[in-house]
Amino acid sequence: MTRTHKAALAFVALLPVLGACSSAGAADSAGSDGAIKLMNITAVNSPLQNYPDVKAGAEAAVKSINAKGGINGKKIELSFCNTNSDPNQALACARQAVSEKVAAVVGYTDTFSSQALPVFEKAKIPAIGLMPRGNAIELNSAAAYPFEGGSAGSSVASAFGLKGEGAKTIVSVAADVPSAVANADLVKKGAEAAGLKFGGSVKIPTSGVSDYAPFARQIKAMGGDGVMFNATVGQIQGVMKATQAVGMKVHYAQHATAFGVNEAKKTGAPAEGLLLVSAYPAYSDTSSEGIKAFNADMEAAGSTDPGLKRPTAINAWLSVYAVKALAEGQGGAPAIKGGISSASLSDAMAKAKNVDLMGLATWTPKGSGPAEMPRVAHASYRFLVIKAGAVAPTDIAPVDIVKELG
Amino acid sequence: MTTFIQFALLGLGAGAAYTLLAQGLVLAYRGSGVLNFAQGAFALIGGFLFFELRQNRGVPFVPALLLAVVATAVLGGLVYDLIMRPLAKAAVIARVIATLGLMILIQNAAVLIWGANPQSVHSFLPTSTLTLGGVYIGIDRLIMFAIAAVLTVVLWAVNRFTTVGLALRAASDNPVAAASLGWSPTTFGRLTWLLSSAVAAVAGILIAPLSSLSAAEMPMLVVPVLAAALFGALKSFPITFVASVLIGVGQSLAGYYVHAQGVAESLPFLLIIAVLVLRGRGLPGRGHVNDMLPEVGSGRVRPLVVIPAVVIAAFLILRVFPIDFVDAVTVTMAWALLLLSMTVLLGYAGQLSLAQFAVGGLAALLAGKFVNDAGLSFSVALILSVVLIVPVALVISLPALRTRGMDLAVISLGVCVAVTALVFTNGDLAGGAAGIPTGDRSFFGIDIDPLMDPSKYALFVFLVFVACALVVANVRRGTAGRRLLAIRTNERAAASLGISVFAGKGFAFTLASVVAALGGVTLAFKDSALIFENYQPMSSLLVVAFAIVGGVGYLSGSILGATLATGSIGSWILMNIFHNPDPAWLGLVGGLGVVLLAVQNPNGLAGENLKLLHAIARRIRKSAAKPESADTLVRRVKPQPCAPTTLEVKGLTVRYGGVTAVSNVSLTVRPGEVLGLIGPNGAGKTSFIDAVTGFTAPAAGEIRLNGERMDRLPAHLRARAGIARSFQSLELFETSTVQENIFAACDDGSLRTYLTDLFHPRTPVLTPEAAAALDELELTPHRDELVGSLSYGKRRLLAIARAVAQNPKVLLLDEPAAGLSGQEVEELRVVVRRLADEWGFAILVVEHDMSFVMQTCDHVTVLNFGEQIGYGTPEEIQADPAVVEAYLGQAAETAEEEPEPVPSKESR
Repeated sequence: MTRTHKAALAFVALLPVLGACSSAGAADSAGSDGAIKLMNITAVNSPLQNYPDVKAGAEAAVKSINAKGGINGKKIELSFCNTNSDPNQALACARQAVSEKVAAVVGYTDTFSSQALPVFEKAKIPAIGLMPRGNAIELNSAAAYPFEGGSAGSSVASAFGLKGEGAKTIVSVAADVPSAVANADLVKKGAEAAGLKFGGSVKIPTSGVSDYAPFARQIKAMGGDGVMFNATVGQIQGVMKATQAVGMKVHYAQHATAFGVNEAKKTGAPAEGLLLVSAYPAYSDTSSEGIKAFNADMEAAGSTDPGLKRPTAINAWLSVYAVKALAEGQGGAPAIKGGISSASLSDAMAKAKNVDLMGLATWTPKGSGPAEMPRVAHASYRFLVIKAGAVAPTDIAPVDIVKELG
Repeated sequence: MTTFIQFALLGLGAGAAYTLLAQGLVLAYRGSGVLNFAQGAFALIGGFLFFELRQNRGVPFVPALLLAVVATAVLGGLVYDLIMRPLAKAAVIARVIATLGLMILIQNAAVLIWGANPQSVHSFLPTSTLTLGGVYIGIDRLIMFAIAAVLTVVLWAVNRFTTVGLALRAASDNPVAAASLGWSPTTFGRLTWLLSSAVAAVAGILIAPLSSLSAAEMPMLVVPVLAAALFGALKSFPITFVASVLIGVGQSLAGYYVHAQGVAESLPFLLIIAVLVLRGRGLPGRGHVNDMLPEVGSGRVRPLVVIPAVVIAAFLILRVFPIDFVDAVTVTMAWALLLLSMTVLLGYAGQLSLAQFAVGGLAALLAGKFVNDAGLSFSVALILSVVLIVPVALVISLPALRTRGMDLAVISLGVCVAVTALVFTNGDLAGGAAGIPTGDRSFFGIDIDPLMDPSKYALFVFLVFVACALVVANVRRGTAGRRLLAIRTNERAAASLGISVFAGKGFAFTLASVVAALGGVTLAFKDSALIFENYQPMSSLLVVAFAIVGGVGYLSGSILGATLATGSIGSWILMNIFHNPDPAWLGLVGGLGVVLLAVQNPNGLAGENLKLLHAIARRIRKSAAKPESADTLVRRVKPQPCAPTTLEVKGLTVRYGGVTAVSNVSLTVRPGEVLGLIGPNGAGKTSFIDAVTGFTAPAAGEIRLNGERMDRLPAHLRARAGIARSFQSLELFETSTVQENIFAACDDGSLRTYLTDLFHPRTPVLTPEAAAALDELELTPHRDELVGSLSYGKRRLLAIARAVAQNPKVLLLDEPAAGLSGQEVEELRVVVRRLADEWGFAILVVEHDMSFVMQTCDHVTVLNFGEQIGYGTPEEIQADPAVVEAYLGQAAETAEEEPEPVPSKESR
């Protein structure tokens, strides 16, 4: 046997390691009799995107609903596909959803939605509770049924939160990629809607940056005292430390969907006081009945880590309850009598209006919203804050951006 | 002005960071000849170890620092011993790819140990600022800058003033010579990798507080750092320091003052491209050591195997494979096209360009614009984009004409970075966040839309690959392929044989760009929208890595390598066996796989597999495979005298900087004459030949062949005109056979061959002159032997035979007798005389062997310190006092000064 073949065998011998590290939730193409097949698709444990909370939220909801008898007496079977932050794998996950004939994809959260959504459209599989991450297709596709505007919505809303903290001039700090830059334009829109000055956009290259001091200085040159990030966690850490090192007094805001307890822990002291723009209340806001129910389901599913309770988890959790709500005839649509399938769900969504999602959101699936997010009929954002390493509510009034954008 | 100074000062932090990483990179390169793409990953390890010890476990500062640095250094030493040393004799690119696999491995190991989220780190340096005249700078940045400066001074001083530094310089310039003097390359390699890794650890520890410890970001710092290291030519520590600082300052200023997309990010590479192109040279200089390159396949296609295989594969794709596997086939075949372009560029032509993915991406962008903006169909858009990408790729390839090896690799990577920053992330050009819709995909009326039924699209991409592979195979077997291999092996020798290196490289880049364009377009158009922010420089590195692991010199290597791409058949297998494997583990095993495969088989999997298949086939046939041998003439051929041609050189002057190597030398070589050119070492003899043959540009003088001016022509055209030469250093194609070396000389140089070979490659045929040359030099019995296996004497004769096989009119032989035994010198003398007397060549011989010169030459010219000091018959020269004094006279002086013999005891 040549050395090459020995090496190849050694390589193959390592592969079982992957088996040991595979996540559970292998797709089962043959569901049990009458079970409602749903799929959750997101990226877990990749350097570019990491949403273990999305998976946890969806699983917690399914477990809770099944424990109470399921939907219309039928159990939910939830499968999971990890996109690995890879566009080809994102397409493979979409194909898997089609081959498994799922009734819906719930809580879809992934950057490469442009690969998946066209497949869902063609197969008429609705992506219920899709979390927009900055791709225009997420807010336009006929298969996308977001509950809120995602990063686009929170970009618009951010200026209102920063205004609530006393900022007068808003600066956008974004990773130098088109999706983030597009959101930066929405920050400007939000600043104008909030009656604040927009100082400009700072763009940070996605690689090759070792010192963030020049970017901090750019914020100062623009006169910014309120900064909204559309950047990676590493870039956020770098900018915040650089501005604080030179004594700049700046209020920061970030998408709550991309920054939670785990990110705050990794960031340490600089994250203290960071404003988080969120469509949902903080997991610690026990005044909200919906949040209480969320926490209860997560505890029951064993997901007690606060790092798993970002708004993306709440959104994924709600997406499963949204299927239940449609099946039960909430929102004015008739209850689904026969099997829960993509066709019956789509029919229900065509008729449903103002569906109450556990008191946390109001949803009109086929409603139309502003030009920036045409498929989002309702989008109210609230402002949370990092306090002592946890995510806490603030007193800043929420803002309805659908109303603000007209 | 204050703002300008402020931003300039703020760039010092990044400049210091780049310096720390770049100096480590240069150190490792000087000690081992390897460009370490994992330098940023080592910094990550050092940074994380320090953080773990200090912040998480409360270890005091100094022990934590020492432990982190030493541990990283030990890791670097282990990497050298386990990976780099086994690859010492492998192609340079295989070593570079191993470091790339190492980078991926370390990146994913860091994610598994410390998590995917970036980790913010407290600074242990003072973070207050120093303010002067309205500008400020952080004290920590100043300290870091000082550390970088001190490190530079220390490295420079050690390099300049110590024995270790001297030995390092020697080993860097010529490892073989240094080893023969007792300086072990292994010791230097290990030492420099230890030190380089330690420096990387210090860099990571210092950089982390300024940014973060991010597995995704810190390893990629190696990309701008490469530019800084290249400014210093990968050897000068002071210039590397200056370049690093300038890049850091430049980026800080550009970020504020220049609003055009991507300028700050691409700035280092735009500068390095300009510098290297200006600094480079068209042909390598005399001291250039040719890099080892991977093995190359024969390009032979067996129709009885290929046709059934294609038919069966098509059936399986259309009718049998499940949809998700068909998607994987599409990705595999599209990547295989990209890797096939590397087979042409790197495998055959030896051009280490890392820009192929960018070329493919640009073609996809063009096609997307044609479809979306101009409303053209996919088929028309595909053809147009492939045609139009050629001039773009040729512009990108211009640096290749003046640089080579690692320089070219870094420049082309820089092109990738620039294209990504300036084009792909430019929302206005590349469709923004929504991307560019791909529209309906049909090929001349046949629906191949992959959205719901990807099988037809997969078949389309597969057939495109098959067609391209057949074309590339034709090139390999034809004259065009032999030219590329000659250029790849030895550019100087190729030019001396009349092969236009410029045309050859241009052809390689053109063909490679067409194939890469097809790969890029088919890969991009499998999706409903073209999203270009995913096109990152890392993908270009992966193209080369997969090509090397698969076997860059083999057609089948492109398919094997493509199975490593994410979304390919390899991914499909892993995903289906393991169901949602953790991507960090996937990456770690993948990186380890690249390292293992590069170490175990630096020539790639395809070569090994083919050898195995041939061995099996031989066993089945129970007969030894006959070596390939084209038509040759075995019988002795009476040479036809060439047309009488006179070489006239008038007033030739050659300068290198401030040194005049040749000063106003004139001579004439007549047909049938052997003219000797002698002189002490450094007299300018080889410089003279280099200038006459076009390898050095003269400062003054004329060179005429039968009255026609030659001095304005490039080297290969002078060779075509009839001036042939041999080299002092032989410059043979070492990995080819004797016959293949001679075939290279039989080339008529027609440019049309590049086109005809694509479809109908010509079988190589020895010209009568070439056959006669083999015969004359008694090399015919050795024609199928590899050059490397010949004795030194035979290699010398082969060098002459190759020059003669060109059918020249003038022959310039540079020290043909060097290293030959007495018997061999006598045989050579007879051959040279016959070449003049029977073949009618005008021959100029440079030699130090005086008896050879005096017995062989009709006349002799003598040079001393670049000037002509004598001309005449051998007898006249031997009696010329000026010649005696300058050249032959040392022996006479010595004879005069010889002490009187001591009288014997009996005589007293």
